[in-house]
Amino acid sequence: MVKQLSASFLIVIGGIIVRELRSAAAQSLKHPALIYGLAFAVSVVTLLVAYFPFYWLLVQIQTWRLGHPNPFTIGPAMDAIPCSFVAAVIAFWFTVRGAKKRWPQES
Amino acid sequence: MSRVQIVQLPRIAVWLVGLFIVEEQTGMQPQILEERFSDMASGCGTGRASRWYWSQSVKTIAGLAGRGFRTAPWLIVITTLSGALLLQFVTGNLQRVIMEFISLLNHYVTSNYDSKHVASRIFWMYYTVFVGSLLLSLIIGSFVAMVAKRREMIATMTLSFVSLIMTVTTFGRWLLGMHPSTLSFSRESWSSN
Repeated sequence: MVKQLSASFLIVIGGIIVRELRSAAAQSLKHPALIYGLAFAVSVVTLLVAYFPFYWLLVQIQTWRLGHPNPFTIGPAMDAIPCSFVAAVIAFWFTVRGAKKRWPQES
Repeated sequence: MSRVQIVQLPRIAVWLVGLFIVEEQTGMQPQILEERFSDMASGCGTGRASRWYWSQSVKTIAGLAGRGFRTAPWLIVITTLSGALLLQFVTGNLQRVIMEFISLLNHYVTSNYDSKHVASRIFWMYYTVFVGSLLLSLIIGSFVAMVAKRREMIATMTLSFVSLIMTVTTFGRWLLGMHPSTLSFSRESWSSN
């Protein structure tokens, strides 16, 4: 269920990315490839790196909820994936925003 | 400097409205909203004006989406159906391909599995299928948006809605026990060991 809901959410995110890329091309940004390439790289790094703190945090929550450590951590390991995806999307958005300020559109 | 120029519009609402604007449509709605927002902000305060702007933005988005659909209904229907079929086909086969790939990698050590290896295999099996499905959804959403030129958000939101309905239907059938084959994935994965 979580997978399907995340999939529906990501379909819309895909649409937003294409829409923003087209807007950037229409507004003649100075370095569209650099801006979106950088944002993509940042989001991939965030996706990979953010997984581990989310996993650790969710394991702590599981331990707190149960009252004792549980050797089975498949639940937190799975739940950390959508969390890191959301973090990656936010990182993408912030990077694009910051890069647009740094390299504003051509006059 | 007047108060009208100091008050800033809710940026997320402005961005959301901008996502649904089709270039060939008139761009008057955002300008009218902006003017009314400035009037309200100077008369009733920023908080009330922001709430009003958000409610008007939602109505504007609904109107823009409806108009975008009415001006090119077949484009939206065809792209959504193609996307849904592609999603169904690719997601179904992705699970099978990943399972076969993992089985191939673990072919020679299957008989020597201990509980730690089994747990590791289950984790990687779910992890790869999950991440693969999410990435495919993102790619298919982008693909549908590229085909539905200037109506990206309408097409992808329709596809997302169709995907949600399919999920809810499957989940409902699973809950009612009318479709036990939805459990076949986990059963097959265990029996194949």
